[in-house]
Amino acid sequence: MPTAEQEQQLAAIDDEIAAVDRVLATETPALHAAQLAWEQQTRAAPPAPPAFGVWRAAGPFTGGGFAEVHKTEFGPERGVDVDEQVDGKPRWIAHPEWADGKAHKLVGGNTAYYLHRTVDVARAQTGTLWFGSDDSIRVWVDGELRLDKQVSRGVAPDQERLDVALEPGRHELLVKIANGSGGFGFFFRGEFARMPDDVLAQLDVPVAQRAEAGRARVAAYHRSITPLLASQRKQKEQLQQRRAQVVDSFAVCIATVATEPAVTRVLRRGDWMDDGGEVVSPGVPSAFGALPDLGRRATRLDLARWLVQPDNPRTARVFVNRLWMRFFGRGIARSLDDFGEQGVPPTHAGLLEFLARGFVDGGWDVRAMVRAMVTSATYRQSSRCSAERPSFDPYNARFSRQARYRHDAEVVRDQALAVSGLLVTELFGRSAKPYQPAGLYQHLNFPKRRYQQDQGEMLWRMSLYTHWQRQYLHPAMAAFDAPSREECTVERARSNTPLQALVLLNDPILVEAARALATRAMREGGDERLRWLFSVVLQRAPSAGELAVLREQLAREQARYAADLDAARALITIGERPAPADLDPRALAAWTGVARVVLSLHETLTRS
Amino acid sequence: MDAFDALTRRSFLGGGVAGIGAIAARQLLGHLGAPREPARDRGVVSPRHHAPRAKRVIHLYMAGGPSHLETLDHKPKLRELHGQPMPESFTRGQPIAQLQGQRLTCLGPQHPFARFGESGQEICARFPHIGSVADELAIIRSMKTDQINHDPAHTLFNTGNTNPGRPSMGSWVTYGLGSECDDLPGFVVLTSVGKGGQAQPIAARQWSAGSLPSRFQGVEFRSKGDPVLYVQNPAGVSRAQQRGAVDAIAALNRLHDERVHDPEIATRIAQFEMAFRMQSSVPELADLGAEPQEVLDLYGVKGQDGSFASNCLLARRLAERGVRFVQVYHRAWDHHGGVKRAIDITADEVDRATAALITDLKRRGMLEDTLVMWGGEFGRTPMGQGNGRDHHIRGFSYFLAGGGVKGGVSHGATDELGYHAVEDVVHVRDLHATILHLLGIDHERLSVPFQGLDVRLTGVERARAIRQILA
Repeated sequence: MPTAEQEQQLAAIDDEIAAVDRVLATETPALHAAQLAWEQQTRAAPPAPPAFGVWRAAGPFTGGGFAEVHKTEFGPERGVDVDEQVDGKPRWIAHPEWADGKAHKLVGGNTAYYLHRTVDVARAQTGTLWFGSDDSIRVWVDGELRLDKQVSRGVAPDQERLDVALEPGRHELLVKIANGSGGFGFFFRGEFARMPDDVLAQLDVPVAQRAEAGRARVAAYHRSITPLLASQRKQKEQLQQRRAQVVDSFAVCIATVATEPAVTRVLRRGDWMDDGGEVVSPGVPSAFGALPDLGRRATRLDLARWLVQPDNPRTARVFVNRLWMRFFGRGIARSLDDFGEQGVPPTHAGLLEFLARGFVDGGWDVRAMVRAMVTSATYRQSSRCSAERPSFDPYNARFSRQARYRHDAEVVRDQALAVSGLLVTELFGRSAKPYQPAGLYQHLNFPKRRYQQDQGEMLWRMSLYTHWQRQYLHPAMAAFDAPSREECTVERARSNTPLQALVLLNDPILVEAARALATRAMREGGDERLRWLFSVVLQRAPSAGELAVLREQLAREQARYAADLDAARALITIGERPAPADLDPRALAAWTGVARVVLSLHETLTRS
Repeated sequence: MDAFDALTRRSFLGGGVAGIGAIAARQLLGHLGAPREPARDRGVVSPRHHAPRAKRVIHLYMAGGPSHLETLDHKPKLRELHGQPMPESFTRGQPIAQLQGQRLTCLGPQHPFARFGESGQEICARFPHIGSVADELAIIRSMKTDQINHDPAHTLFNTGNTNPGRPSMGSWVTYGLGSECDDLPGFVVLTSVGKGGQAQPIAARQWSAGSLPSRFQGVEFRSKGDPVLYVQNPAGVSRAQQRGAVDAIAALNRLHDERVHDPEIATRIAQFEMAFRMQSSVPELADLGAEPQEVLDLYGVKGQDGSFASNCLLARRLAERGVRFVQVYHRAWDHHGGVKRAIDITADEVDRATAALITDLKRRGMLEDTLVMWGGEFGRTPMGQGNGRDHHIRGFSYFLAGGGVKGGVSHGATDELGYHAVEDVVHVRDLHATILHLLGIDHERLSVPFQGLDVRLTGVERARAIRQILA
């Protein structure tokens, strides 16, 4: 669906194309003269596309690994003798069945084949050789290595392009295909100029005797190849590319067309080859009852309606239970992802039912449900454990206080960035690649990858936008129990490990955040910098005892950096955000030492 | 502080999954002392189900699937049939990986075998160092697994189940037995890459704690550079300053705890303390320069260079420091092509260091309570794949050493072509039962409830410890 602006762009490009087309369609005396010369020349030597000899193959050659078989020179590189004998058998086997323009199969793992054919050329010409390969490919033309690509892939037409200029005579084409494991094969076709038969026929008719149609056909064909119009043809090609780019940028409306549904059978013992199982039709697990009888095959829309029909309480129960977990740290039923027999029964079945019913009756209004939860007396309780009655509800099974639990990985990082003023809250756009220890991807393979860290604002984007490498997620995220994204995760673990402490103390992003927070404290904290710093992170004033600890920490850091300016500079230059030039490096380093402590506190990491 | 607080704090520090009985027992221990004591798990199997023979495990994991036919299982008959069609009686109806639909031809053993030690155990002559410790080894030649591709086969080998999400054996063992170490994790993983085959990736899922608490998951130590990420202080921060920061954090956390009474805070303080200790213990651990030259030569190690040999030496240092379960993966054995040369290359990487580890443990008196395991997720076909071999699950080999295992014995056998394990067949779960047995755990009594099941490492099918190889 083009926007108005895109439509305008297209109209402008179409105008330009029309202008070029007019030039390309117009005969001029110069063009006419060139045409006559070309006709004469072509009649004297009609075009002759190269003649390809039959493919011959040598192999298999095997080796210890894919890279090795691709690189090893097994011999044909140094010259091909199609009559060569090995152990009394011919080395090169002819394959007349290997037609051009089709993929052909080879067999073997960690194996290479060499393919050879001759190319006879009557008149000098240029053209294009197209290849496909599974996996890697090397191509030599007349002994010169022209293409060398070590890739792992399946074979498809036209994966590689090789432009060639061939002089008259016999040429030798040698191709090496090497396979790692799995499928193995190649594709080939040649693309050379050939003149349409009808044009060729017209050339034999003297110009004066040609019919109008024939005359126009030859002139049009000539204009399509003459060097005189090469720049216009090039221009038209570029315009068409620009047009295609605009069209590609349209928002696309995707729709599928309904087809006859496939017959679905029970796969006995999970065997997908067994088509003797009972035929089944769409429905829901019988433990949940049944879809209403519609007298026809049920559709996805029927399933959606069933999910939310008022007398089906399950969807609402599951949803309000997950919502409850957001505000109270655990579900009313602890197993968020399993309401079946393997799940854990709710601690307050009546409450769950009440909320689910209210959710349905209230028109599935999420906002109203959130309001009901956060304005409840249960939500507004303190999370403190009663010192007077410690044995009362030790596991908070009765929600007798608010829950306290460690923040999720993303929140730990974002909170530090937010209080320090580094956080970039811009929405949308591509994922960010923040600081990450070197070499983390060394055990990734197929294909190997390198981590390219971002620069500038991208470094401080919300953690939601941090790049996820499945299984190899950012180590700081992993330390705080972010999932590896191999399967859907409804509820994360909340561990408490030494690795988390190492991240908090030493991860460059947290050191940089501490320095930025220290900068803010020095600028904005007035006479009460410690108090300011503490309360901006924890949203409460420090006690006298806490202030004393912080004062002592500050004094220790000040003493250390007073004696070592280089150390101070080293600390405050961690991270890509430049350290402010107007602050004393010693003081900033010492305050950074205080901010590191406050950002690492249990209270900082805990929702309570 | 009142009794309840001390009690919960103690249970978090000490037990993890302490039951009521354990809490009561700890209550008798009285008030918790100085908070600089780091978290240490004592395990749920306390006391052990029976007297343990091993305290710890070093698993030399030959990832990719070593060919048993060029390592531990000599098949002269296969050499006789070299180049001839594989008899169909062996292969009919069997699962086959990449050789599916291809002509199956016997590939004779690509290296000679020899007899080693007083026990005369037959081992491929390309592994003379392993041969030199033959009298320490219990070689199992009748292993069997269910999974023919790398990742699911690893998952089965590590967790006893094909589906991801179950605890790996290192997690089970640390969960069961706890840790003996204040400054290193109980379950550590090391990896290296060989040059002789395709380096199949290994997913971190392989050492996941699955349904057990996440602190039991394996911690992957990087084999080059800092073994643990973020273990170095930020530039410009001295060790004394870091100590000061950790102390200030602990002091503030304690003040906070006085107000809110949160047992998790004690764990947090302990984990910062553990982290601080790791900051010196981990670099110290990785400093192989501290080893005498003679030891470096024994392993053939130049330095901490990420090689298998360097990881074997690290494994010994980890074991010495009380780490319960060490897995040393060597991603090198997927020899689909050119198995002869690939074995040459891989033997050079693995042979000396494997033997050195066993020798080194023995002379330190550690072999008697350290179980060393050597092998891969499956074996390789007697049929050639070109001049290599394909994945094979019906018969392969493993060896164990130390930790209450008899030395110089062989157990089980494959048929004359090395295809099917036919004598005293050992399924992966039998090996799991054996490992747990040696550690003093009855595999049927170590379980956790998960998805409505009492999940065990050995699963629900019958598993038996291999009595014949127990010393």
